[in-house]
Amino acid sequence: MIASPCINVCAMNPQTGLCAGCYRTIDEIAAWARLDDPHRLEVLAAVARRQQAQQPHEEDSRNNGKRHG
Amino acid sequence: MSVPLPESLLVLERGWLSANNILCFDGDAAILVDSGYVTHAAQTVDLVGHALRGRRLKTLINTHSHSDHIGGNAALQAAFGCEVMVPAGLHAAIADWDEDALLLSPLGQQAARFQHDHLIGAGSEIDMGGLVWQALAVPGHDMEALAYYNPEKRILISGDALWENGFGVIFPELLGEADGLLSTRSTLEMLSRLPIDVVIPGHGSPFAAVDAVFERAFRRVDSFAANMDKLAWHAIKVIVSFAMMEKRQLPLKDFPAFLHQLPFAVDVNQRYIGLPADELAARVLRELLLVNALRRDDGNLLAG
Repeated sequence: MIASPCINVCAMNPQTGLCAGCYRTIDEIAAWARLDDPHRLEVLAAVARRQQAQQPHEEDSRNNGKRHG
Repeated sequence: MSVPLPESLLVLERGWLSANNILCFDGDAAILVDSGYVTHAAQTVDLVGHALRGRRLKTLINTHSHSDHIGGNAALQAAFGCEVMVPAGLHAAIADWDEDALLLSPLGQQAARFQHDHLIGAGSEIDMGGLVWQALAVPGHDMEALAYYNPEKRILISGDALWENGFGVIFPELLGEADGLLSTRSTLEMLSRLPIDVVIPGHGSPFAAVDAVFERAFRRVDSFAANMDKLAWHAIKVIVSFAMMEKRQLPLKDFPAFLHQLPFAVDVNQRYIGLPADELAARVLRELLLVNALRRDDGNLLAG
Protein backbone atom coordinates (compact mmCIF):
# COMPACT_ATOMS: atom_id res chain seq x y z
CA MET A 1 0.00 0.00 0.00
CA ILE A 2 1.23 3.46 -0.84
CA ALA A 3 1.43 5.59 2.30
CA SER A 4 -0.71 8.67 2.75
CA PRO A 5 1.00 12.05 2.28
CA CYS A 6 -0.65 13.28 5.50
CA ILE A 7 1.83 15.02 7.79
CA ASN A 8 -0.64 15.66 10.63
CA VAL A 9 -1.28 19.32 9.81
CA CYS A 10 -4.87 18.53 8.75
CA ALA A 11 -6.21 22.05 8.22
CA MET A 12 -7.70 23.36 4.98
CA ASN A 13 -6.26 26.47 3.39
CA PRO A 14 -9.39 28.45 2.47
CA GLN A 15 -7.54 30.27 -0.32
CA THR A 16 -6.48 27.15 -2.19
CA GLY A 17 -9.11 24.65 -1.06
CA LEU A 18 -6.23 22.30 -0.28
CA CYS A 19 -4.97 20.89 2.98
CA ALA A 20 -2.17 23.13 4.22
CA GLY A 21 -0.10 20.08 5.11
CA CYS A 22 -0.56 17.52 2.33
CA TYR A 23 -1.97 19.61 -0.57
CA ARG A 24 -4.93 17.30 -1.09
CA THR A 25 -8.53 18.33 -1.71
CA ILE A 26 -11.23 17.29 0.76
CA ASP A 27 -12.40 14.80 -1.85
CA GLU A 28 -8.97 13.20 -2.10
CA ILE A 29 -8.55 12.97 1.67
CA ALA A 30 -12.02 11.46 2.13
CA ALA A 31 -11.44 8.88 -0.61
CA TRP A 32 -7.88 7.90 0.38
CA ALA A 33 -8.64 4.72 2.33
CA ARG A 34 -10.69 3.38 -0.59
CA LEU A 35 -8.15 4.14 -3.32
CA ASP A 36 -6.02 1.42 -4.84
CA ASP A 37 -2.34 2.07 -5.48
CA PRO A 38 -2.63 3.39 -9.08
CA HIS A 39 -5.16 5.99 -7.91
CA ARG A 40 -3.04 6.84 -4.89
CA LEU A 41 -0.12 7.48 -7.25
CA GLU A 42 -2.31 9.84 -9.27
CA VAL A 43 -3.12 11.79 -6.12
CA LEU A 44 0.55 11.91 -5.12
CA ALA A 45 1.47 13.21 -8.58
CA ALA A 46 -1.17 15.94 -8.28
CA VAL A 47 0.14 16.76 -4.80
CA ALA A 48 3.69 17.13 -6.15
CA ARG A 49 2.48 19.48 -8.91
CA ARG A 50 0.51 21.66 -6.49
CA GLN A 51 3.40 21.78 -4.07
CA GLN A 52 5.73 23.03 -6.77
CA ALA A 53 3.21 25.59 -7.95
CA GLN A 54 2.57 26.94 -4.47
CA GLN A 55 5.77 26.65 -2.61
CA PRO A 56 7.41 29.86 -3.84
CA HIS A 57 4.62 31.94 -2.22
CA GLU A 58 4.34 29.84 0.86
CA GLU A 59 7.95 29.34 1.83
CA ASP A 60 7.73 32.07 4.44
CA SER A 61 4.36 31.28 5.93
CA ARG A 62 4.53 27.51 6.06
CA ASN A 63 6.47 26.05 8.89
CA ASN A 64 5.77 22.37 8.91
CA GLY A 65 9.10 21.74 7.26
CA LYS A 66 8.49 18.42 5.61
CA ARG A 67 7.72 19.81 2.19
CA HIS A 68 10.51 22.30 2.06
CA GLY A 69 12.82 21.50 -0.82
CA MET B 1 -4.55 -3.20 -2.38
CA SER B 2 -7.07 -1.54 -0.17
CA VAL B 3 -9.18 -4.01 1.79
CA PRO B 4 -12.76 -4.28 0.52
CA LEU B 5 -15.37 -2.89 2.91
CA PRO B 6 -19.16 -2.70 2.57
CA GLU B 7 -20.30 0.37 0.62
CA SER B 8 -22.04 1.61 3.74
CA LEU B 9 -18.71 2.13 5.57
CA LEU B 10 -16.27 4.93 4.77
CA VAL B 11 -12.97 5.20 6.63
CA LEU B 12 -11.54 8.71 6.82
CA GLU B 13 -7.87 8.00 7.36
CA ARG B 14 -5.34 10.76 7.95
CA GLY B 15 -2.01 10.62 9.83
CA TRP B 16 -1.31 9.21 13.26
CA LEU B 17 -2.26 12.31 15.29
CA SER B 18 -5.95 11.92 14.38
CA ALA B 19 -7.51 8.52 14.89
CA ASN B 20 -9.51 7.19 11.93
CA ASN B 21 -13.06 8.44 11.59
CA ILE B 22 -15.44 5.78 10.34
CA LEU B 23 -18.66 6.92 8.71
CA CYS B 24 -21.44 4.34 8.65
CA PHE B 25 -24.30 5.20 6.28
CA ASP B 26 -27.83 3.92 6.62
CA GLY B 27 -30.42 5.50 4.30
CA ASP B 28 -30.51 9.25 4.88
CA ALA B 29 -28.66 9.05 8.19
CA ALA B 30 -25.15 8.25 9.33
CA ILE B 31 -23.17 7.36 12.44
CA LEU B 32 -19.54 8.33 12.93
CA VAL B 33 -17.04 6.35 15.00
CA ASP B 34 -14.37 8.58 16.63
CA SER B 35 -13.57 12.17 15.80
CA GLY B 36 -9.79 12.74 15.60
CA TYR B 37 -7.52 15.22 17.36
CA VAL B 38 -8.75 18.65 18.42
CA THR B 39 -6.38 20.70 16.25
CA HIS B 40 -7.80 18.91 13.19
CA ALA B 41 -11.44 19.41 14.16
CA ALA B 42 -12.28 22.00 11.49
CA GLN B 43 -11.03 19.69 8.75
CA THR B 44 -12.85 16.76 10.37
CA VAL B 45 -16.11 18.74 10.15
CA ASP B 46 -15.34 19.53 6.48
CA LEU B 47 -14.51 15.91 5.70
CA VAL B 48 -17.59 14.52 7.38
CA GLY B 49 -19.84 17.19 5.83
CA HIS B 50 -18.39 16.41 2.42
CA ALA B 51 -18.85 12.66 2.81
CA LEU B 52 -22.40 13.01 4.19
CA ARG B 53 -23.63 14.53 0.89
CA GLY B 54 -26.81 15.80 2.45
CA ARG B 55 -27.37 12.88 4.77
CA ARG B 56 -27.82 13.54 8.49
CA LEU B 57 -25.14 12.74 11.06
CA LYS B 58 -27.35 11.44 13.86
CA THR B 59 -24.77 9.92 16.22
CA LEU B 60 -21.10 10.11 17.06
CA ILE B 61 -19.80 7.15 19.01
CA ASN B 62 -16.34 6.75 20.56
CA THR B 63 -14.18 3.67 21.07
CA HIS B 64 -12.48 5.32 24.06
CA SER B 65 -11.75 8.76 25.42
CA HIS B 66 -8.17 9.54 24.40
CA SER B 67 -7.49 12.92 22.82
CA ASP B 68 -6.93 11.61 19.30
CA HIS B 69 -10.36 9.93 19.30
CA ILE B 70 -12.54 12.58 20.98
CA GLY B 71 -10.88 15.83 19.82
CA GLY B 72 -13.54 16.54 17.20
CA ASN B 73 -16.55 15.62 19.34
CA ALA B 74 -17.45 19.17 20.37
CA ALA B 75 -17.00 20.58 16.86
CA LEU B 76 -19.03 17.80 15.22
CA GLN B 77 -21.77 18.18 17.83
CA ALA B 78 -21.91 21.91 17.13
CA ALA B 79 -21.79 21.53 13.34
CA PHE B 80 -24.24 18.66 12.89
CA GLY B 81 -26.29 18.53 16.09
CA CYS B 82 -25.46 14.83 16.45
CA GLU B 83 -25.89 12.90 19.67
CA VAL B 84 -22.71 11.66 21.31
CA MET B 85 -22.43 8.16 22.72
CA VAL B 86 -19.44 7.05 24.80
CA PRO B 87 -18.39 3.80 26.50
CA ALA B 88 -20.26 3.50 29.81
CA GLY B 89 -17.09 3.23 31.90
CA LEU B 90 -16.02 6.70 30.80
CA HIS B 91 -19.14 8.48 32.03
CA ALA B 92 -17.57 10.13 35.07
CA ALA B 93 -14.27 11.09 33.45
CA ILE B 94 -16.10 12.87 30.63
CA ALA B 95 -18.96 14.32 32.68
CA ASP B 96 -16.48 15.82 35.19
CA TRP B 97 -13.95 16.52 32.43
CA ASP B 98 -11.25 14.92 34.54
CA GLU B 99 -8.13 15.88 32.62
CA ASP B 100 -6.02 13.39 34.55
CA ALA B 101 -8.33 10.45 33.90
CA LEU B 102 -8.65 11.51 30.26
CA LEU B 103 -4.81 11.54 30.17
CA LEU B 104 -4.81 15.09 28.84
CA SER B 105 -2.66 16.63 31.57
CA PRO B 106 -0.15 13.78 32.00
CA LEU B 107 0.47 13.51 28.25
CA GLY B 108 0.47 17.25 27.56
CA GLN B 109 -2.42 16.89 25.11
CA GLN B 110 -5.49 19.02 24.44
CA ALA B 111 -9.16 18.33 23.78
CA ALA B 112 -12.35 20.37 23.55
CA ARG B 113 -14.83 19.65 26.32
CA PHE B 114 -18.10 18.05 25.25
CA GLN B 115 -21.14 16.52 26.88
CA HIS B 116 -22.27 13.03 25.96
CA ASP B 117 -25.95 12.17 25.50
CA HIS B 118 -25.82 8.39 25.79
CA LEU B 119 -23.69 5.59 27.17
CA ILE B 120 -23.01 2.26 25.55
CA GLY B 121 -22.01 -0.75 27.59
CA ALA B 122 -20.10 -3.89 26.68
CA GLY B 123 -22.53 -6.57 25.52
CA SER B 124 -24.99 -4.18 23.93
CA GLU B 125 -25.67 -3.94 20.22
CA ILE B 126 -25.81 -0.96 17.93
CA ASP B 127 -26.96 -0.58 14.30
CA MET B 128 -24.42 1.20 12.14
CA GLY B 129 -24.27 1.24 8.35
CA GLY B 130 -27.12 -1.24 8.02
CA LEU B 131 -25.21 -3.77 10.13
CA VAL B 132 -25.59 -4.88 13.73
CA TRP B 133 -22.47 -4.38 15.83
CA GLN B 134 -21.68 -5.89 19.22
CA ALA B 135 -19.90 -3.66 21.71
CA LEU B 136 -16.98 -5.64 23.12
CA ALA B 137 -14.97 -4.69 26.20
CA VAL B 138 -11.33 -4.43 25.11
CA PRO B 139 -9.45 -3.30 28.23
CA GLY B 140 -5.69 -2.75 28.12
CA HIS B 141 -4.56 0.45 26.36
CA ASP B 142 -7.66 2.03 27.92
CA MET B 143 -9.43 -0.04 30.57
CA GLU B 144 -12.87 1.24 29.55
CA ALA B 145 -12.44 0.97 25.78
CA LEU B 146 -14.95 -0.74 23.51
CA ALA B 147 -14.49 -2.33 20.11
CA TYR B 148 -17.40 -2.87 17.72
CA TYR B 149 -17.80 -6.20 15.96
CA ASN B 150 -20.14 -7.21 13.16
CA PRO B 151 -20.39 -11.04 12.99
CA GLU B 152 -22.22 -11.04 9.66
CA LYS B 153 -19.47 -9.33 7.63
CA ARG B 154 -16.81 -10.35 10.18
CA ILE B 155 -15.55 -6.80 10.60
CA LEU B 156 -13.93 -5.47 13.77
CA ILE B 157 -13.66 -1.76 14.56
CA SER B 158 -10.82 -2.15 17.02
CA GLY B 159 -9.93 1.36 18.19
CA ASP B 160 -6.46 1.17 19.76
CA ALA B 161 -6.90 -2.39 21.09
CA LEU B 162 -5.47 -3.88 17.88
CA TRP B 163 -3.47 -2.33 15.08
CA GLU B 164 -1.78 -3.94 12.12
CA ASN B 165 1.43 -3.56 14.07
CA GLY B 166 0.62 -3.98 17.73
CA PHE B 167 -1.75 -1.80 19.78
CA GLY B 168 -1.85 1.49 21.66
CA VAL B 169 0.52 2.03 24.58
CA ILE B 170 -0.51 -0.09 27.56
CA PHE B 171 -0.93 2.74 30.06
CA PRO B 172 -2.33 1.36 33.34
CA GLU B 173 0.86 0.10 35.01
CA LEU B 174 2.79 3.15 33.83
CA LEU B 175 0.17 5.37 35.48
CA GLY B 176 0.49 3.47 38.75
CA GLU B 177 -2.62 1.39 38.14
CA ALA B 178 -2.96 -2.35 37.67
CA ASP B 179 -3.86 -5.06 35.18
CA GLY B 180 -3.08 -3.32 31.89
CA LEU B 181 -0.79 -6.06 30.64
CA LEU B 182 -3.00 -8.92 31.76
CA SER B 183 -6.06 -7.24 30.31
CA THR B 184 -4.31 -6.58 27.02
CA ARG B 185 -3.45 -10.25 26.77
CA SER B 186 -6.99 -11.43 27.54
CA THR B 187 -8.41 -8.84 25.14
CA LEU B 188 -6.15 -10.18 22.38
CA GLU B 189 -7.14 -13.75 23.26
CA MET B 190 -10.83 -12.85 23.10
CA LEU B 191 -10.44 -11.02 19.78
CA SER B 192 -8.29 -13.77 18.25
CA ARG B 193 -11.11 -16.27 18.82
CA LEU B 194 -13.57 -14.21 16.75
CA PRO B 195 -13.99 -14.93 13.06
CA ILE B 196 -12.58 -11.71 11.58
CA ASP B 197 -12.08 -10.89 7.89
CA VAL B 198 -11.29 -7.20 8.20
CA VAL B 199 -10.10 -4.96 11.01
CA ILE B 200 -10.70 -1.22 10.85
CA PRO B 201 -8.11 -0.01 13.37
CA GLY B 202 -8.02 3.32 15.19
CA HIS B 203 -4.85 4.23 13.29
CA GLY B 204 -3.56 3.02 9.94
CA SER B 205 -5.37 1.41 7.01
CA PRO B 206 -7.96 -1.35 7.38
CA PHE B 207 -6.27 -4.73 7.13
CA ALA B 208 -7.17 -8.32 6.43
CA ALA B 209 -4.32 -10.70 7.30
CA VAL B 210 -5.35 -11.06 10.92
CA ASP B 211 -3.48 -14.23 11.89
CA ALA B 212 -0.07 -12.65 11.45
CA VAL B 213 -1.34 -9.52 13.18
CA PHE B 214 -2.43 -11.43 16.28
CA GLU B 215 0.83 -13.32 16.33
CA ARG B 216 2.75 -10.03 16.33
CA ALA B 217 0.50 -8.51 18.98
CA PHE B 218 0.89 -11.51 21.32
CA ARG B 219 4.65 -11.42 20.91
CA ARG B 220 4.65 -7.74 21.73
CA VAL B 221 2.50 -7.94 24.86
CA ASP B 222 4.52 -10.90 26.12
CA SER B 223 7.79 -9.06 25.62
CA PHE B 224 6.41 -6.06 27.54
CA ALA B 225 5.12 -8.31 30.32
CA ALA B 226 8.58 -9.89 30.58
CA ASN B 227 10.27 -6.51 30.69
CA MET B 228 8.45 -3.50 32.09
CA ASP B 229 11.38 -1.22 31.31
CA LYS B 230 10.87 -2.00 27.65
CA LEU B 231 7.21 -0.98 27.90
CA ALA B 232 8.21 2.17 29.79
CA TRP B 233 10.78 3.18 27.20
CA HIS B 234 8.40 2.46 24.31
CA ALA B 235 5.70 4.57 26.00
CA ILE B 236 8.02 7.54 26.53
CA LYS B 237 9.02 7.52 22.87
CA VAL B 238 5.41 7.23 21.66
CA ILE B 239 4.25 10.10 23.86
CA VAL B 240 7.12 12.36 22.84
CA SER B 241 6.49 11.55 19.14
CA PHE B 242 2.81 12.34 19.56
CA ALA B 243 3.58 15.65 21.28
CA MET B 244 5.99 16.54 18.47
CA MET B 245 3.35 15.68 15.83
CA GLU B 246 1.17 18.32 17.41
CA LYS B 247 4.00 20.82 17.89
CA ARG B 248 5.33 20.22 14.34
CA GLN B 249 8.75 21.76 15.00
CA LEU B 250 10.93 23.42 17.57
CA PRO B 251 14.52 24.63 17.90
CA LEU B 252 16.72 21.63 18.56
CA LYS B 253 18.09 23.23 21.70
CA ASP B 254 14.58 23.42 23.18
CA PHE B 255 13.95 19.69 22.90
CA PRO B 256 15.08 18.75 26.44
CA ALA B 257 12.82 21.42 27.96
CA PHE B 258 9.95 20.28 25.71
CA LEU B 259 10.36 16.68 26.85
CA HIS B 260 10.53 17.66 30.50
CA GLN B 261 7.19 19.44 30.23
CA LEU B 262 5.51 16.09 29.61
CA PRO B 263 4.69 14.81 33.13
CA PHE B 264 4.16 11.25 31.93
CA ALA B 265 7.61 11.03 30.32
CA VAL B 266 9.33 12.47 33.38
CA ASP B 267 7.43 10.25 35.79
CA VAL B 268 7.86 7.02 33.82
CA ASN B 269 11.56 7.74 33.43
CA GLN B 270 11.88 8.28 37.17
CA ARG B 271 10.04 5.11 38.08
CA TYR B 272 11.37 2.69 35.48
CA ILE B 273 14.40 3.96 33.61
CA GLY B 274 16.16 6.34 35.98
CA LEU B 275 18.16 8.31 33.44
CA PRO B 276 19.42 11.78 34.37
CA ALA B 277 17.36 14.49 32.64
CA ASP B 278 19.90 15.41 29.97
CA GLU B 279 20.63 11.79 29.13
CA LEU B 280 16.92 11.01 28.84
CA ALA B 281 16.44 13.79 26.29
CA ALA B 282 19.57 12.81 24.35
CA ARG B 283 18.59 9.16 24.17
CA VAL B 284 14.96 9.79 23.19
CA LEU B 285 16.15 12.23 20.53
CA ARG B 286 18.69 9.77 19.15
CA GLU B 287 16.19 6.92 18.92
CA LEU B 288 13.39 9.01 17.39
CA LEU B 289 15.77 10.38 14.77
CA LEU B 290 16.87 6.86 13.97
CA VAL B 291 13.33 5.71 13.11
CA ASN B 292 12.51 9.00 11.33
CA ALA B 293 9.86 9.92 13.88
CA LEU B 294 11.85 13.16 14.12
CA ARG B 295 14.08 14.90 11.60
CA ARG B 296 16.76 17.56 11.94
CA ASP B 297 16.78 20.59 9.69
CA ASP B 298 19.55 23.06 10.50
CA GLY B 299 18.98 24.05 14.11
CA ASN B 300 15.41 22.79 14.13
CA LEU B 301 13.74 19.57 15.01
CA LEU B 302 10.76 18.52 12.90
CA ALA B 303 8.08 15.87 13.35
CA GLY B 304 8.79 13.00 10.93
